[in-house]
Amino acid sequence: MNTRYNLKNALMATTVGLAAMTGAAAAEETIKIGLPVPLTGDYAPYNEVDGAKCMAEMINRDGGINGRKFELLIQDTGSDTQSAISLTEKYVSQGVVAISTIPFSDTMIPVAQVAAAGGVTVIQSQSTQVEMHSGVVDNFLTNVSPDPYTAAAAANYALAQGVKNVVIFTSDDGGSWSAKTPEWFAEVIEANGGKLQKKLNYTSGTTDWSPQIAELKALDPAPDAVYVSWAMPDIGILIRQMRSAGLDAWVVGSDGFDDPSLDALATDDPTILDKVFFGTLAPAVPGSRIEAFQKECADIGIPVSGLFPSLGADMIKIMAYGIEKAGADDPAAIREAIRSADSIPVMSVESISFKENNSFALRAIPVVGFKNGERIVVSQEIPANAPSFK
Amino acid sequence: MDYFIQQSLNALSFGAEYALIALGLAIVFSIMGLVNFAHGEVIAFGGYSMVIMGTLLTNNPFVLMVGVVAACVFASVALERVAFRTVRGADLTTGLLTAFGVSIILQNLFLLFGSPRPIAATQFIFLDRTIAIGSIRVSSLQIYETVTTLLAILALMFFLRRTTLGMAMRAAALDFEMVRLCGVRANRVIAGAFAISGLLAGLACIFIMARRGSVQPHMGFDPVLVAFVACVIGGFGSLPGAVLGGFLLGITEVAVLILLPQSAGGLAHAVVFALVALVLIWRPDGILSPAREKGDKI
Repeated sequence: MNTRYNLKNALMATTVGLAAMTGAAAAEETIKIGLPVPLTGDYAPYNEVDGAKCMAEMINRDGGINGRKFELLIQDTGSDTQSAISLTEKYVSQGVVAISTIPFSDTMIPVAQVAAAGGVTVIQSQSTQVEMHSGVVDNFLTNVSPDPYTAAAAANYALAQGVKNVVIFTSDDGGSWSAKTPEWFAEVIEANGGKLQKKLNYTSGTTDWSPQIAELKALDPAPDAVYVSWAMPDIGILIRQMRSAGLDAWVVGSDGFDDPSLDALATDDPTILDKVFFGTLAPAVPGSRIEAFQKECADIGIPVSGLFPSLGADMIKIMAYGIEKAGADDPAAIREAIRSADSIPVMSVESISFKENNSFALRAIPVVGFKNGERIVVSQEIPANAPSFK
Repeated sequence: MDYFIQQSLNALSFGAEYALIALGLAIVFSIMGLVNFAHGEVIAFGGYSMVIMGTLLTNNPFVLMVGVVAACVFASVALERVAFRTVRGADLTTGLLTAFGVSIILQNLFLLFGSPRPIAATQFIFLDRTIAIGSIRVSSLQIYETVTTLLAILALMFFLRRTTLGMAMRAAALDFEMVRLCGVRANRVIAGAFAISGLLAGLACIFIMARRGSVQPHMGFDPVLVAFVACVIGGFGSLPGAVLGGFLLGITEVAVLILLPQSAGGLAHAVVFALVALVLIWRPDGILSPAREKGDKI
């Protein structure tokens, strides 16, 4: 009798305990976001993981979204498209509400197609490639404006500086970002009375621009500006070699210039960056919201450095907004809530909206220049004359 | 005319850099038949060592140059001891895969312990200044690089012809087993080849850092791929062949860049490699491939 009584009590206790645990699990069910991202490989500089981790941690510390916390599923793709696709399949089966991946169209398109099977959104914090807005996929969102806008903003500022004759550097190695963005820049310059003097080619990893510089020096008149949509360290070499060769044309670029190692060029000679500026995604300059965010992250032990990692915070903020408004885990409902919003608060600027353009947030494009080696925003506008790309 | 001279100097400079790296590959291949694709990571290791030494020890560029060369020699010899000694007797494919494996591991270590983004190290930038010779403006770095490559070739030839270890290396390149039977220590010969390879990587690292002003995990890999092609053109295993291949590739690259219509710019690599293919149809083992019956490397 005593044994039976004890057994009954034990069973009841176990049942109550299991029920309590199930309830606790339901309460603690997380919001999963999959990040099959390039932690290694060629595209590693463009991953958004640190900023996303920091913002997710901040939101979780404040109690989460509707009482639920973010859980980021992060795995390295090695910058490989097939790995990104395989990881996307895995994450979709694990119930993620969104995916963020390698920010180049040859990865984003197949990843979006795989994610679409589960209705999941692909949301990028930094993708500017126009291929994603041609209607090939419907479940794609990007936090920033496409390349024609950054090119037009840079061209408008160049025109304001009296630039007439320009040379553009193009390369097929970075897709439309490196091949077409310079042409959009030239298009705006020519539409305003300027002249495209020459197009010059280059390849990824150029460590000596001497042949192209000899071509620039042979031009008469000397160009007022050169435009290149490429990244450090290659463009740092271009700037130094141009100045060494006595060419003082403006060097104009895109978001690829937005790297702290560009600023380091001015360590020995601050004047070397006096005639350098670039259209970028968000203002990462001293005193900006991005700098304040990076300081907050450092304080909680998650260091975030550079523009691209920082923008991961915007992606989390956008998802947080969509989940809160949709009030459900349905990825399609979340996407719709994001697309229909007039204003979504983000980290890098006060707010953005997808309402007008559906797949991208139209932002004011900051053009960043240098004064005494320090970054400054020299203009900020939503260019009305951005070349057509759809 | 000025334009032609300017571009000729550019071609010479491109060729000198490729030749310097190709020599580093060729010296190891000629001794132990290993295509050391991790040579590029030895160069990157030199770059990261420069950042660390510049932060912790000194910003004196001349001290850093010595440090970079020492770091590259150390890395090269250490790789031989840790990774390549175990596959010494294996076939070419095993060595090749080991070298690729080492290269990928090192790149990922640089990524994980360094940064995927470029880290600035500008101490060598002073080497890159413009010198006006009449109406021609020449980069001082181009002159240093070309002269250093030529001196390295001469020093290497002296070492291989006039020193005991050098002669042992030449003998090992001909018949390694016979050299061992003569009482020469195999480990010493091979470690010597890797040390020279590291020295050449260190010199290349100085010039690459002077031009780039920053270090990145993949900074050595692309130049080594080009240097590999230079070795193939010149004749793998031949040291003069590596130098000739490097200069030919530099000249071809600059010529294609300036002669190809801009609308066909995306074909630059295709044109360069098509020309390489034509050379290999003419001389399948490379232009200066060593005579099989002799097998000597210089």
